[in-house]
Amino acid sequence: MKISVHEILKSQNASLHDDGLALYQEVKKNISKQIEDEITIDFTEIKRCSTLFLNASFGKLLAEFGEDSVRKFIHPDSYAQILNFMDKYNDMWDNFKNKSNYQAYREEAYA
Amino acid sequence: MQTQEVYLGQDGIYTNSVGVKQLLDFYEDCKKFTDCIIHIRLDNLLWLDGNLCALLGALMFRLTHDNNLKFGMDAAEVTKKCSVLFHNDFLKIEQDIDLYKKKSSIPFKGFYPKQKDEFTDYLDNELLSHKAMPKFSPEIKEKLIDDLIEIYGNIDKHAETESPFFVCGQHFPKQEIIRFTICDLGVGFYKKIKQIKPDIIANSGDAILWAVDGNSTKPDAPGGKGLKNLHEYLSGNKGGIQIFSGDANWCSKEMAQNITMKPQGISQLKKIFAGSSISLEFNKKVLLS
Repeated sequence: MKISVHEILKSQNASLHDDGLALYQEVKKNISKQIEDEITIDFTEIKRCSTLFLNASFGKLLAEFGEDSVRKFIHPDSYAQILNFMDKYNDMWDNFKNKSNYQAYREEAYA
Repeated sequence: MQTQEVYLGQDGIYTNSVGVKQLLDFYEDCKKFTDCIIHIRLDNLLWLDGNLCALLGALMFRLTHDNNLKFGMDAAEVTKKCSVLFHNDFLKIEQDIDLYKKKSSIPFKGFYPKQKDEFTDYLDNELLSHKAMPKFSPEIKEKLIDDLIEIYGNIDKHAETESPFFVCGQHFPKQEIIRFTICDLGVGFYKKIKQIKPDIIANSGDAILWAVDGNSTKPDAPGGKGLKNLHEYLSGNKGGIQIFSGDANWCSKEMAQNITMKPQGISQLKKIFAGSSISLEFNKKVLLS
């Protein structure tokens, strides 16, 4: 399955927290409890992508489905035109792994 | 419509708490009137930091909206006393544009909270590509845009306002610095941060410090590093940040030697500003070295 970021956002800028949540919701709509099929997140036509966006999309999927599932099934694609994309993507993984801050917020939110 | 006269300020209006207080005094003087034209007098004014047009524009927008005020200025007086208002497009002129536009100004503009793409273009093409700015590497430029967009995102998400936010920048060639101010008319830092951290946030000053420390009000994913990153980058290059919100004023401590952005740390504004004004200072001398 391929999900186009540009089609969801109608913009070349995937930059906001809400943009990331929109992608997260779109991915969630297409999976049940477990991710069982490969999902390609297509960044064609996206010019700019922020770590904030990746935190709110991939980061949130990581928190919900775990590292193994996301690494195995959810892949970004067609991002060569986005400056430093992989650096930001790796930052997002680091943010997830550094859970102390993040987990505190989650616990508050779901309390 | 009746016309009333209000003085904009006196002596110099600089990017510091005294300058901001002067603009808030102007706002309160205008607020006494409704349904009239305010003729803005510049008689006693010697200087206005161009970047503060972002705050001035925001305050005038609120007055227009809330009190149905219209504003006027004498063009000859503006030319003589405060021509920066022409240079940066605060006052639009359509004739002899080349005569009035100055390379030292980064244009005054307003954006509605949903104008993400327009604001991103402004940052890319007007602010960070301005001739006065150091030539940033693509990576640094990208990071600065990310951090500034995060500030914009907070206005969109947390400021609880449909009003536009305003931006303006100014190059100060003698000091070799560029100042950029972004100003919104939302609820400020305090309300949202107090909601999620009631035990540790007692006032606007606490809320500003909490945000600058890299914390976030977003409960569902990590984030909130925009202000912290900008603070680290600018202060690390002998520039700085200054924030006004509610009744508080914060200036990065590294600015202690700078006379116009003092005082360092949190101080009371002695006025309430219902919104947020964030001024960034890029030190060209250091960034170019």
